[in-house]
Amino acid sequence: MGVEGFGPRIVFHIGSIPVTETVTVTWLIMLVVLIFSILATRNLKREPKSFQLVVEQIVDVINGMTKQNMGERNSGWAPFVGTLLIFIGLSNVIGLFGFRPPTADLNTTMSLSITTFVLTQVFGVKSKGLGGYSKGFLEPIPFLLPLNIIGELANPISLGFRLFGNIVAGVIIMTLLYGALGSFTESLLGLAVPFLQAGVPAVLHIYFDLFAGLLQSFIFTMLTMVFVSGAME
Amino acid sequence: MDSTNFIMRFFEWLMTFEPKALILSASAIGAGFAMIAGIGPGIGQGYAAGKGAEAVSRNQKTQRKSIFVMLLGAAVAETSGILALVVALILIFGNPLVDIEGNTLVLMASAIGAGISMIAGMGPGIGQGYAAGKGTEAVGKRPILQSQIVRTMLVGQAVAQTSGIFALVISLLMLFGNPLIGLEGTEIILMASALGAGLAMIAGIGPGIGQGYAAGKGAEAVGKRPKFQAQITRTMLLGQAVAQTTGIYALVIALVLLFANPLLRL
Repeated sequence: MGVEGFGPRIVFHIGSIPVTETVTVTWLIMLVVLIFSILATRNLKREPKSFQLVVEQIVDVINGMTKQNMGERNSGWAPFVGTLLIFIGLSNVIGLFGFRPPTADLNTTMSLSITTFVLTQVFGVKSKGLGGYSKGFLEPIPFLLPLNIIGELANPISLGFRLFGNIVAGVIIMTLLYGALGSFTESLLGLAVPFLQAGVPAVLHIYFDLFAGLLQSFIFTMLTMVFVSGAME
Repeated sequence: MDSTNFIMRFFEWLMTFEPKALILSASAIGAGFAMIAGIGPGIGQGYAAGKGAEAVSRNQKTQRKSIFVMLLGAAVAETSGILALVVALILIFGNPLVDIEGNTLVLMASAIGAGISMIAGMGPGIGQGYAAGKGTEAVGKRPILQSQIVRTMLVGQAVAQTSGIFALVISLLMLFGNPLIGLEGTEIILMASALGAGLAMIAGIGPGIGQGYAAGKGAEAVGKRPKFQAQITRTMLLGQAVAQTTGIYALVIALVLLFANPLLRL
């Protein structure tokens, strides 16, 4: 689906493959996460000091969240949950620095939600056996089988579009606001000095990028945990 | 009187305008329709605010926590209003239908249909607002349980958003990837299919309200018995999945009308 006008710009081509902003900004986020991880795990001490304390706090929060939502025996999921949370969170917040969030691209959000979908199915089959798992689709009455299947398939769609819709809404509204403020100052002064663009959008940036971005990354991670642990029980 | 048939005369009157003017005017109508969704968040957030005031009146010490939960829940309830605003803004500022070569009537109907589809946002707005209110009430009673209550409230609200997201999917499909435009067929059927797909999505109001009710009751239950949070959340999600059914019917009908329309082959 090409979202012309509001879609990600094509930065350069590798051969005939177009590379969009989504991909390059994802590389940037990967780099940031990589450097942070290397710095955070260097010189670990038994008695943590300043920086190590912060890192341990992050790990603690993620471990606690996983245990509370997926149960004690599924605490091995914490690395995956943490990766999702950190990647989506950083992707959403990067709009603050003037980049286009990778999550404002349907390709990113749908691949994340399909990952969750595949995990849900695989671990559902693994823990209940193929028979037990497929029997779940015949409940509460066998008549509902087609509906249960459609309902199961609708989960990744709504999961992916929930994230995409929220983030792209922010991107579109901010783009239009900057355009409107630019033309407003120009007609006000007759000069192209966009002084209004400096302060006015800050409030909306805090709402759309910081608040909605962090909230949506949390919601995506929570729903992933609920879906996966739900399929395993 | 050349024709007594009002509808025929209406189409003849339409054809006296330029195609571009017709599509633009249809986009204006669509943008207006989309914003009807604003009814939902208005009602829902009002309920949440009322519950917030009530919670503060009962126990002043919880004021800060109650207000935090109220604002958090109300912000989630705003989502469907923002999505409707985005569709309306796309129709007004970045309309992709204007540049498409195709049947004018079908393009017009797609613009209006994309707007009508977003009316579904009313449901999630009301439902999520109810959940926010119940969450605020529960936190006001037992502020210690804030994180558990908020977690259940947010998961429930996120699920209640689903039908609003389906509406957004159909709306964006009609604007950016409309399969009807390239199809061969009687133009009135294509046009009516685009409108019908939009109309079908209005059903999303129901699941949105119902799932929001479930989310609110879930948050309330966790506030009373935090020990059973896992069971409460699971029961809530199961019920919400069943409540989603009619919304999924609507999505299926809308997708059939857009992609595999049997009416065109008759």
